[in-house]
Amino acid sequence: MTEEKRRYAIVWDAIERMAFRPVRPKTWLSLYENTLPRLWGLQDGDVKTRINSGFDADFLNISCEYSIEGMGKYSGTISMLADASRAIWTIHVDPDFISKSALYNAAERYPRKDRKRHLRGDIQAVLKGMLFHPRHHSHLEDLGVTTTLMETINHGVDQVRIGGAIENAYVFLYHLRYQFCIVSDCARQEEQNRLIDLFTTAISENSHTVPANKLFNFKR
Amino acid sequence: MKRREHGVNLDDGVSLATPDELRLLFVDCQPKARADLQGWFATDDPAPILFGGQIGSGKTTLLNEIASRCPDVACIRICFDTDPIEPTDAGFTMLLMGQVLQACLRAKIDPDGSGIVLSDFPSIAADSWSAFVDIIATYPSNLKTVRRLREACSVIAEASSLMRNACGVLLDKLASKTGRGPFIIAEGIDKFDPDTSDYFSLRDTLVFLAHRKTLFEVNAVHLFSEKDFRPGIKKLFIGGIKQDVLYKMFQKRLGAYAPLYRKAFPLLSEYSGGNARQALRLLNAYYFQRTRYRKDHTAALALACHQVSGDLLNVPFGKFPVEVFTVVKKDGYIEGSLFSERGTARGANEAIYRNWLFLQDEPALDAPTKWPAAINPLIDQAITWSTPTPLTPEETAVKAWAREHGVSPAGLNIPVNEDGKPAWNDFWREIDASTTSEEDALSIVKLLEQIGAGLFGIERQDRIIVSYRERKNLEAVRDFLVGKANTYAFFPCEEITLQGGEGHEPVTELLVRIADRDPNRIYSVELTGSWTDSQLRDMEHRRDAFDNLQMLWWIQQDALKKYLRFWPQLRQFFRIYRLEEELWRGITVEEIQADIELISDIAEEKDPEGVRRLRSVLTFLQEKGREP
Repeated sequence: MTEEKRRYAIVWDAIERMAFRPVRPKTWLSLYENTLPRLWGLQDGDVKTRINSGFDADFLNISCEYSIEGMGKYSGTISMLADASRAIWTIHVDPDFISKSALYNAAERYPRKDRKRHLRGDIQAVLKGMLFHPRHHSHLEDLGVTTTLMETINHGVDQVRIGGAIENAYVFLYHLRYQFCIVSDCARQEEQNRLIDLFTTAISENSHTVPANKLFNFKR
Repeated sequence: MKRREHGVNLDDGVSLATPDELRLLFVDCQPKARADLQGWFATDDPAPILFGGQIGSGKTTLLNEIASRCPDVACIRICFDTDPIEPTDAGFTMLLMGQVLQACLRAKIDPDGSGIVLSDFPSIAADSWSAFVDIIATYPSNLKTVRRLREACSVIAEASSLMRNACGVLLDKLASKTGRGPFIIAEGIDKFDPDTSDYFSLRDTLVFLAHRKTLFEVNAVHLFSEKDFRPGIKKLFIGGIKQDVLYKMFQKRLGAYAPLYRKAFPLLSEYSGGNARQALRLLNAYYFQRTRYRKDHTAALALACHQVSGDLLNVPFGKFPVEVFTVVKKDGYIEGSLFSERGTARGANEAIYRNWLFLQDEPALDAPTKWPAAINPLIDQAITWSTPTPLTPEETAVKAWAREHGVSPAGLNIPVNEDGKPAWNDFWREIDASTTSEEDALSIVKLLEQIGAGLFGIERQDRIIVSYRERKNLEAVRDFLVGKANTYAFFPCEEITLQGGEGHEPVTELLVRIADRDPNRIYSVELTGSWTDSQLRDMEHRRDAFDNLQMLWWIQQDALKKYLRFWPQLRQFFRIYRLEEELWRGITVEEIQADIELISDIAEEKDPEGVRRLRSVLTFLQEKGREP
């Protein structure tokens, strides 16, 4: 493993540990649902949610359902709003079986000597693979999803990537939140920068957790 | 108001004020008026001007936009609606004096020798002009200062004419020092119904200002009373907004999501009658029905019309001008003389002042007395005309949906007589009898859905009136709403009870309590007692003091019916809901407990307000559950 990849592994593990292993899952999920409209440029309450189990993205004509038994055991389904009975994409994650990524644990501290030079870039690269552009993904467009927003947004649904092989339930949900933010390129970029800043600070300060209210930009 | 840089920015039609708001949302609705106003600002010609339009036509936004482009112009802005300590001749004069003195001190002009002497105002007890101005030029934040200012007003009342003359001396000094006469913007005259005593009290100050370079922000009805200002005064009228411009406005408000709702633009703009606020409120209500309840296009349009006309129009006033309505419907214009002729003036003015009729444009040159006009489409929709205007299939569908669902698309039902003509008198009796129908009453869960966008939002503040039949446990309802809001962000709540009636000063008390204008606070205001006419009118004028604040007002429903007659302006900024008797339907103890847990987890302080509020709701529900 190269030095760079080792650093990525440390950062990946640190981000998951700090932000995506909530001690209070109900609080994490409630904040997740309550703050979806804000990221998507909608009014509070505009997104229909089903307490800790799903939400609708009307502007994409889709509905998402999820069921979380534990951080590594969950299922998620995306259906068309008009026909909720037929799933267009689905995932089941079962920790009773091994995967290559589950075999390695990089629970180390990020090397102090690299903080100044590499930390921010490393976090950027990791968040890209984790949330912004997952390595394994399906394009929403290929699943038959279209939107009438095409004329007002710079990118289309081809930029919406549903990640596969995401083993952490909370990472999975968070990446949906980011991917469905199609209101503008600027809003996406701002969210990217906010998360990079948030985790750069957290790792620099050796934080144990990133509280859910900070993760979701829950305003005081 | 803080706005979303990307996405949806809806509200109930408050004026745009900050540079960010103007950058994101301003649409040049009246290019000719805008050019004329810019010209007025650019020239040294001292002629005053009446800048008039109906309620919600966009006057204040346009003024703010132009002022933001002329930051260097020496401008004295005087808000006659929100800022006087009392709506009397002396109160208005003191306001004028405060603003003029402030401008003089800014220009380093010594007010001594103008005719105003500090020792004339012992209650103010100021030892310098700057201390004096600090006290009289801003609305006080405590009742003690209010009393001191009232005492000062009683001094002014003895010699208001002399005080105005002194202001004239100061304005002349200012002009000679700066080399250019100051511009005065007299804001908020439009909030004064010409038929009221408050407006009468304002007239001497208006006449004084009309001899200076002053822009008066007035309602369209004031344009027909130039004698109140200065004979021959220049007038600038803004009328109906064109359809394509309204589309641009809708587009901006919906941001990237506009294409999802574009289908509604034609009818929303048509039903708006070209009035900016009515258009924005219709858009808001339509969007709400589509997103929250997933109503189809037709149903959402009918329900939006119903909600908006109920909020803005559903209240009787003075003398109903049957003849004026009939003529406007037939001819499409109104004769200017009707606003001053004895038999018609009151009704015609009221119909315009309350937006039942819309003046669409200035008269054409070849017919200088004929003002193009139309009945507000929300009212027109409710009338079954004997010779109806042909409807499009879409309009027919909206009407049919409303009929099938027992909803008038206008929130008003206008019956017809045996001849097939509107039975105006029956109609008038009908709306006099009720404010909202029983079907419109809401449980708390439904109320929360309706007001959630503002109550939960950082980027939006709404003003809501909640009416009720019996007071019962309003504290628990308030605690529930505030507690719920705190699951979306931290919103503290200020509880204010305003006792109306002789010997009380409810409006002053309210203005003092909201002086800090915290946009993140929920101001819960309960109106009790028997408010006097003058207290209600005073509240009406202060409307703009409440914009950009999240407010929940609680008013008993019979009292509200009386109050609304006094509030054609104030109600423009409010949405009105009524609580049903079975108001706790659908709320569970488990849900409250989950919310308490959520707020406790994320709060940084001990015993946060949201938890305290919801705990009291929990206790209330548990006790209620034990009732036989």
